[in-house]
Amino acid sequence: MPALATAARWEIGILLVGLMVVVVYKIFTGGISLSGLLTAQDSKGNLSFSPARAQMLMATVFTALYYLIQVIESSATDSLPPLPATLVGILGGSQAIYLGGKARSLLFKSK
Amino acid sequence: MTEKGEYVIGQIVMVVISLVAAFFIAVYVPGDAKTKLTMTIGYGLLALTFLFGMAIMVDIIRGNIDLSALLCESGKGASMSRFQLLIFTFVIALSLFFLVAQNGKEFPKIPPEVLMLLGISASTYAVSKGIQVGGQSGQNGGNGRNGNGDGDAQKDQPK
Repeated sequence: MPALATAARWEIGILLVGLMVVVVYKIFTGGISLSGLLTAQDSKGNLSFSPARAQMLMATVFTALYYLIQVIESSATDSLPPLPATLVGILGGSQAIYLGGKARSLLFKSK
Repeated sequence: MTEKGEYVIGQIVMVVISLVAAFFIAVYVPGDAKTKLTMTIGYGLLALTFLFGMAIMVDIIRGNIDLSALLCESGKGASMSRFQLLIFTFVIALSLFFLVAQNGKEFPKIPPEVLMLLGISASTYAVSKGIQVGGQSGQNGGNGRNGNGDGDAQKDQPK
């Protein structure tokens, strides 16, 4: 029976890591387009740099890296490491700013 | 042969390989009947899911499954809400796999903060989608009222 569990572990590892590698490879080679990630349309319909998107990108990358480091450091436990409530609040606020900016730009554009 | 026919043959081949693997395990693995049955079903399902997963991955690599619009909103550039959902999904999935591979016996406990993080991430995507669809329908409705709309808006006008 341990051999079955080991085989299942290897299988999940190969499929999961393989899928991630394929998606990341396609992002880096342009197979998955990231153009326009940090730009947004203003009220006149022009594309311009969006600070709301930039701050959300920073908050996302910071939170993701912080959590990965936490997981690597506390790998001996049988539970995922908890996230500080402050960080969850910051991420929630960041996403609220992004959504607010998007709603505002669409509202002014449709008028 | 059509592409659909090739897919059906591929799926049949996968199922046959799984059944053959299960048959050999049932015949040649030592043990009582219950152990043999458990191992047969376990390895058979394992082989089947692995082959299905590999088939999907190979199709993605060959371009038969198109991921070019994975991060794009309809007709626009890349979307931050999709991008952050992708990143958090990968991070949590990788973390879970890492812990299971390290410690092994049972599924790791997930703290409420992590569930909240995933909830915020997915909600942002859903709300962003809602805002976008609402904005598009608002524009279509506005254009229709002004007499500059597309066919759908004109269809709504009474004859």
